[in-house]
Amino acid sequence: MLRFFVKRIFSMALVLLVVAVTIFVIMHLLPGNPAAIMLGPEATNEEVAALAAQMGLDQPIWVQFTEWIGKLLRGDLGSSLFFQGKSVPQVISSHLEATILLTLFSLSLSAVIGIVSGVLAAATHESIFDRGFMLLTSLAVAVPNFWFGLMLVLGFAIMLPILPPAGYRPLSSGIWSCFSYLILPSITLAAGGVALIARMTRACMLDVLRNEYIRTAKAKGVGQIMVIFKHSLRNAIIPVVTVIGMSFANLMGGAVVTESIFNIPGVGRLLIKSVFTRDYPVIEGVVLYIAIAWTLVNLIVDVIYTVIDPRLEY
Amino acid sequence: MSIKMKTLMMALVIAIFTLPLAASETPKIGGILKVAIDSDPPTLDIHATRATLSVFVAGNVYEGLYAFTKMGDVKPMLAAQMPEISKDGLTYTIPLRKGITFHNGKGMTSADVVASLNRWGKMASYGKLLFQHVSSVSAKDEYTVVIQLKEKWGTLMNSLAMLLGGPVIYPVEICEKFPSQPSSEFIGTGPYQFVEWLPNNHITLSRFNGYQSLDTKSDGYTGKKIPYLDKVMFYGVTEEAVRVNGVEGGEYDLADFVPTDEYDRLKDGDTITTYISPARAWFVFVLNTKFGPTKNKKVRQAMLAAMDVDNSMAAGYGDKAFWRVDPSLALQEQIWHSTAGAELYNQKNIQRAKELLKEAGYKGEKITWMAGPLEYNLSAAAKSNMVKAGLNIDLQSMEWATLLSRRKNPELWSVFSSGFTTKADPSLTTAMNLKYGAGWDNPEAQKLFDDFSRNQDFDTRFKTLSQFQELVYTEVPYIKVGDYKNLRIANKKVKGYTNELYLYFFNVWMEK
Repeated sequence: MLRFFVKRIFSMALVLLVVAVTIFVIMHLLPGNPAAIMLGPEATNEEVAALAAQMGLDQPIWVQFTEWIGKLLRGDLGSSLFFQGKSVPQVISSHLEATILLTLFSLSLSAVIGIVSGVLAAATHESIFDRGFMLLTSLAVAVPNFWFGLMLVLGFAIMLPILPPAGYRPLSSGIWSCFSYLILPSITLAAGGVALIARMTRACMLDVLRNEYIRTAKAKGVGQIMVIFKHSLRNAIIPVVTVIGMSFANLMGGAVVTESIFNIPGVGRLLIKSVFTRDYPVIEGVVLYIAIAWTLVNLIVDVIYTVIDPRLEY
Repeated sequence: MSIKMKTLMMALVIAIFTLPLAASETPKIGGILKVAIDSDPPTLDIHATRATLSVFVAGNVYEGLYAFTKMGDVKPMLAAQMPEISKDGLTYTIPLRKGITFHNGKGMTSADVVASLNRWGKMASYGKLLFQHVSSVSAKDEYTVVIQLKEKWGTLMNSLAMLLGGPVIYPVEICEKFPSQPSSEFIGTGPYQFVEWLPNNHITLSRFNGYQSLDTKSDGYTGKKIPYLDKVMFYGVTEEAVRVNGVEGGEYDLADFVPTDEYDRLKDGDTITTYISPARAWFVFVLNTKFGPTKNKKVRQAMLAAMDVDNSMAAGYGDKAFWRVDPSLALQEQIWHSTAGAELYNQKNIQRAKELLKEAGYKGEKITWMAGPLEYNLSAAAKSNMVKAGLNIDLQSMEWATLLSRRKNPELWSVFSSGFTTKADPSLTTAMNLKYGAGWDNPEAQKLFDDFSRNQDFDTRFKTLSQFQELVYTEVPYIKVGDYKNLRIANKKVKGYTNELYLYFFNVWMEK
């Protein structure tokens, strides 16, 4: 196991380095100048050039790269060009709370509802519930989440004003205050996830339920609930854990559309805004953070596999 | 003095100022005003930017020596009175108001003013323009500042009164700490003080209890300014629909840049008041006078002849309530409004355009036209007429950052679409900036600009400006499209809001 961890951490470092270099090159090859954006559209070329020089953006790309990679290896991600000179970790961490909470709420919703309904659909295979539920999940996957989110706002924030239409309150403002702002976005995000997890759970459960050891268990008189939850679900859950893990990693990178519809200051919106303003250090920092989130979640998912199925070894 | 005592005194001052008002209009102290703007501003350092969004927030925090009334007259703000001007017109002696304190509690003196003006002259676009003609700025005593000019310069007072990119006053320590880079500490003398900026979330201002309001009638950015609100919070909300939903759902109290097609639905609402902002800018197609097919004046004139402004504005900006057709480089609301060259504006004359192209010897060379998302539709409408005249136009849609970057290299483009904002003094506008875009090397335009800037007599300046405008219509360095306004909406609880060019929230209160 130790060897596995060392190997994974080494490959993780390599992945991060490749990601860092790639994103630096791509961003600097894209047209766009932070100085021009800062000065506004009515600035002249001379004014833009003067500010760019002050910001060090007039240096050849290889000089900028050498400086940046040197700092990166020392753990210094630099400072944002736009956010009052705040360091990149400060900027990212100020967006993390919203992203983490939104991820946890929406993923909990989609995992609980998805697994339970997937199991029920498999247990009642070919029933009206099964067919009806599969139809619903198809709809949930097909409906664009920006439309679904706006419909929720229209329904529960404007026509029936019981929840805020947009915005975010940090946990420090109170649990209910924070939670109330996350209900609609979490439902919006969870809709697609529920469908995916439910369909995956149903398919895996149906596979397992057809195995001979299940038939044997039933023949021995084991009850339906025990058959499903003790003998079937544990064996069916590994692909579902993979899906949940990938969804978690994906959401930790920010749910751009949902964050925009609900004006949540999360990592997704930060990344988009930074791309539009060409805030290079923040873009590089956020992409690195996303890469770290992905590799870490992959590692954790691999460890969870061994807990679920002790036969697995690394 | 303790904070409680300061708040008490502020309440007393507010009460005295508001005594004459009718009971139903009695302002109330307290409350939080939540404002949805379309993005985070790039910075709150007014010396470092000309972005309107910065002024929306920072205009509540900072003040200059002078400010504009609604009609564009210059009135003292931090200066005690209008300057004393020497007989030769080169020395401006400005007495300062006493007892003004910055948000950090420090008293304002001439040292702060001198440092601020010098910093502005060194790093702000308008400051650099003005300081080419300034010999020195010095402190005569603790409360008197002297500006010495190299030559007579007509724009001095208007420059000093500007808010957008203008010479607002910072403590000397801030000027020393951030001599040429944007400041990250926002300390001014205005009615609201900076509290926090959570990137991509909100900016919070709070009432400045030490604010010393003028006791003259409030007029534009001058006169009485009372900070009734406990806090003003600005939220950068990029999605238009979210800004509308936010006000309708009660999350925000006021929103700017609301989609104009929502106007009919919202204007008769029970809970929302709609405001059409004053015209703030005009759309423009900037032509490349140095490279490519548009280097040829006749080609530029042909493009102007083919322009159908009504069609372009309707395609690009929707409801007629939000735009108007007007040939002037200054707005109708300004004293500088002129109709010089109007016969060449909005010609819709495709036949004339064809003749001009023939005279130009134009053989279908490609005209590369760059347009950002806001200007794309109106550019596409304009293009259709120009294509009918025989122009070969390649209209490219691109995000702003790319457009701004490509614009640097004049060999890459022939036309780009943009917007020119208005200023109290036309010499400070981009319309008169001969270095803008690819640059306009025209000795006659340069002479008119210099004459206009130097002269101090209004009638002479107006005549010169009209000549400049006429030259724009004959030489066509750019094509003016139309003036535009934007839609703002506010919760009916928001009181005292005057719908000015920039958003500001002194004298605004919330009905409880």
